[in-house]
Amino acid sequence: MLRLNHVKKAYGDFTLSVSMEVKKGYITGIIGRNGAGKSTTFKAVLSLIRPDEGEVTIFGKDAKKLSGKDKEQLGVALSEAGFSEYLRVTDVAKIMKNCYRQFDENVFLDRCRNFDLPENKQIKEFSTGMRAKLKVLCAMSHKAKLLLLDEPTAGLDVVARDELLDMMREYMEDGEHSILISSHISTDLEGLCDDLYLIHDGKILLHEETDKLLSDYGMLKVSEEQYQNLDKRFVLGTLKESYGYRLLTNEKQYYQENAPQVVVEKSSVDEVISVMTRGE
Amino acid sequence: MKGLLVKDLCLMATQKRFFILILGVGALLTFGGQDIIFVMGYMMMVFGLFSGSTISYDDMNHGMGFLMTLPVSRKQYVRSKYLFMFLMIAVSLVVSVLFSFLGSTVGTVMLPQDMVGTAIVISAVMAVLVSVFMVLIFKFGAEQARVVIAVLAGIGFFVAWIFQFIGEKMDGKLLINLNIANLSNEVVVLGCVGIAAFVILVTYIIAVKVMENKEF
Repeated sequence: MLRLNHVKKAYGDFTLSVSMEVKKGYITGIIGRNGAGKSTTFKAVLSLIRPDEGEVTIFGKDAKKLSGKDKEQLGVALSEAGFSEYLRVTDVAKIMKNCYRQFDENVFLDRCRNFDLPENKQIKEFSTGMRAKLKVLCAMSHKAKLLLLDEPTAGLDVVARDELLDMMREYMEDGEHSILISSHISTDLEGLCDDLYLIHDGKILLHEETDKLLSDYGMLKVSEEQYQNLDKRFVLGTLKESYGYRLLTNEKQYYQENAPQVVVEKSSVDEVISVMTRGE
Repeated sequence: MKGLLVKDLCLMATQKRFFILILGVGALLTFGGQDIIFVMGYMMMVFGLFSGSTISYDDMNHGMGFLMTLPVSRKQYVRSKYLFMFLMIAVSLVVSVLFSFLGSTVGTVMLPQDMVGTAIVISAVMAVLVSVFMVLIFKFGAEQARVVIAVLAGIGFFVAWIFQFIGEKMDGKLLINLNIANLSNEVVVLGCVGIAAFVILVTYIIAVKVMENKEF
């Protein structure tokens, strides 16, 4: 569905340098701190910026050369941008109806009502959460094959977040769609994504299937002495702690079997991020 | 592209009070005995400039980037703005012509001898001004475009003053004498339309280039 091949873009002292893929039927997540390069990656995918190097392909075509018909197959929600704040939900529906042949106005307006979005209020009067909901509902309103959602859950309360995540799961049921979604809230992506890219300082630090990340990855807590004697072949990151070291491994079981004296804990995505971005 | 035009019309609807006010001012000027050419120019300028303002509305809060993710090309975006400009000028033309005829019926307006020609020339001049304004907004954004327009207007006045100064010094012996007065109305109108079409086309090509090179 989507491939970024050695895409590079430099802005002063920040350089985005990523390669990634979103497969058909997959929900792929990009996770990283604020300023890590998530939004820049989306901009590169959408040809909103011109990469200095590399190529982006969507549906097997050069992203820069997508036709209007191809773009109808993309559903986009950007974290910092949307329709003019002077418009109302009813205006947005009219615009979408005239942009997308597959747009179903009634379904869209029904969903807006379900999410308590007032139809005749200008978007500028919406709360952050309401704006976020509207963006995602727009992206999912025209049966796009690929959803590109940059921080779609930012500013949402827990209930609205769960409802939107459920809608995304429902959207994926036929196996024909794909989603690229970013967030700095790891729990959103843990339960949703098939695979995750961890991005930091514009670079991909880790790419892994979510199941594998949750089942095979683990944290080793070792003293200074244990650290010196430890087999470090499967250690991905090291973080100095007051008691010694915290190590990230992608072979939890190996250490459980071969280093029984070492404390091995299940790792959360947050911990993976912490060690991969702060550690050595 | 239809979606973009619908968007601009929706934005226009959000400013309906402003447009009602402009129509009211236009009616007052017409029935108050103001020169109808001035009223036409005023209405077309205000309506036409709104098409430029919609670019600023689109650009607010990084909205332009989002619009470029819709199934439209950057060229189509620019084209929609030019179409919207023509639509706005056409609407204001119809309204001001209607005012003129109503004004002439009640006796407050003296219609120009060549009403059609006058209307076409004013429309062409306004379309040129608005298209220059639009291309400046595309290039510099709304805030800087205003500064650039002020600078350009200053240069224009200065050049006009230089010409006037030279004209006075030459004491009527101008090197170039266009003798416009001797040309027929049709030729002048056609000439204006031709020049306007050329300038608008040039601004359109520049606007497309600017948009295609933009990053969001």
